[in-house]
Amino acid sequence: MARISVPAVLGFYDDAHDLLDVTERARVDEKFANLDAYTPYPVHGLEDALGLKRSWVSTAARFALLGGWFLGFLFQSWTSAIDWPVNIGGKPFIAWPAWIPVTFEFGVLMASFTNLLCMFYACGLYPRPKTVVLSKRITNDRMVLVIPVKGDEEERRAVEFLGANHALKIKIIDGFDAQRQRLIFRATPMTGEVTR
Amino acid sequence: MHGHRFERIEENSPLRMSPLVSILMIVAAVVGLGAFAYGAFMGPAEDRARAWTGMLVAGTFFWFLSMGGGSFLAINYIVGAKWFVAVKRLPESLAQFSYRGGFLFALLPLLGIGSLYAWAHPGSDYPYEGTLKRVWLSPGVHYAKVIVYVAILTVTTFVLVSKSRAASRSADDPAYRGRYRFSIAYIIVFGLAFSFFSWDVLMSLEAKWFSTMFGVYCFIGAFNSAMALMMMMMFYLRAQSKYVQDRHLHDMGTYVMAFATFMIYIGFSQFMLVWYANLYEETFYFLNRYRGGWYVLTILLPILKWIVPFLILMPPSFRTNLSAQTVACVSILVGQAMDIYWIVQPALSPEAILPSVINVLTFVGVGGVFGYTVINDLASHSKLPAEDPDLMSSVNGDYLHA
Repeated sequence: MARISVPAVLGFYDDAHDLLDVTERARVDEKFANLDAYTPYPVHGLEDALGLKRSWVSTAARFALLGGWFLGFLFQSWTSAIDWPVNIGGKPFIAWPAWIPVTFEFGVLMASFTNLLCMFYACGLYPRPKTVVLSKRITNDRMVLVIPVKGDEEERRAVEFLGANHALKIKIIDGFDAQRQRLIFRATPMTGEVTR
Repeated sequence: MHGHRFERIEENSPLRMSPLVSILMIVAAVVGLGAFAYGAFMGPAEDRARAWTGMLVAGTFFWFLSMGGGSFLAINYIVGAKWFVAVKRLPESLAQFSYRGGFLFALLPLLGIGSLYAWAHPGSDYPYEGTLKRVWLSPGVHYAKVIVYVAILTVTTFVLVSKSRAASRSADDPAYRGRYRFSIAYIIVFGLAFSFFSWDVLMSLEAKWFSTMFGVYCFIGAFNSAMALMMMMMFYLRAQSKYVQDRHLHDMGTYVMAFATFMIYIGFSQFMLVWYANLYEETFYFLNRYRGGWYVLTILLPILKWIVPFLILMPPSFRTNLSAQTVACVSILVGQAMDIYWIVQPALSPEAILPSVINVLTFVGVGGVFGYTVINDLASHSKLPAEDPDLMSSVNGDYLHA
């Protein structure tokens, strides 16, 4: 929850199917833009419901893989054929079948590191020493749909939409307190069934 | 993607094909097996050995397909997989071939061991006289042990398929838990019996050669080719049933791609260790397959079994695309048939030869029996396993949401 846009209306749910349905309806029927959602575990199909495009992370990882293969192969060739040639059992200096395992593993290593770091960057988890916690419940059993709003009219529409779609709880984020690194919540209008 | 949920299965008739296909399969079986019988028993004496090679290749290929189906079922039951439940009639239909005809074709090459195995002739060029290996590889012991392996594999697969089709109402049902427990026993017994079968039937063609990778190599070829065939059948099932979704095709396509990669991993590991150690008693196996024209086949195998399916199935959208999957899966199946030919034939002829007409007809004949039993099996069971408590989870994708 690194790059949350404010102001925004939050709708809390406790069921993945409900969240998927509401998200799709908010995007397709109600035309809310830049939707976001937070869940305690990966919910399959959520990226389609949010209308997210394929991320660039896998492309970066692919190039890292190819680069890792190339560099791994090159390095082994350089050490055993150019820098310090050693005759091993009469084999050619560039004994390529023996290098395939290392080449492969180096490519995988590069791709996975690139994947991890690019994922941190793309999600806004780095560089950023502190994260803003939207609600502690989303690390446990709640799922949140975030609808960024512009102006009172859209805000009213978002609250009504979430209320009509049985959100367990609705919250409004008014702003961000940069000094205390905290979100500023409006006094929350409660609708629907509020549990616990 | 999610939108519509099915509350219950309304349409669940058996998966039928036109009777013409069954008739075609019977004709193929009669013609092919007739050609084999002519070649092996009545034809010119100098060609009889090749007829037996053809039977070994064809019998092993289709026997391996059914073994791949059985192990696919068992593995999925062990890990508690739910995604495949909607399409589990397909692995069941492959596995049932093992006890409806498959075991005959696994046993039939026993009659031709005189033409197939150098160790079957006393006084042949064989350096293990007076050792246990000489006893292990002698006709009498070979008959006994291959019959035992095939019997174990056939009976356990029969029990597995029966348990797979037994009705259970919920996950607490004894039938449901029994299926899980039997799958664990099955996979242990299967791993041993299948490895011994591969060593004794295929690896002993080159009796002086040995590879600890060989059992896995054969298993993964069987597993991946069975998946490629199930992938093709799944497109037909999807066209016939609205409950089978793109999600199932995508998961199966991912499996095909992953295990094509595992195939090259095992194949390359086997080759690379022999190449690197460069020991006289190991290298001749690959040298024989480098020389005399076999080189072409040696190069084609990794292309057909890995490069083509891997590159084609890389984009996720291609895994649900019929044309792309056809190219990838046919490539794997052709590669698997060529792989078994590559294991068997160079052991008997140093110069590369194409399969003879009788070899091709034998393959078509065994394929006819295989196709007939599979079609017949699919036509005699509902196309979705209504008896399985996980069916709705698989159809609606509930297993994806914790």
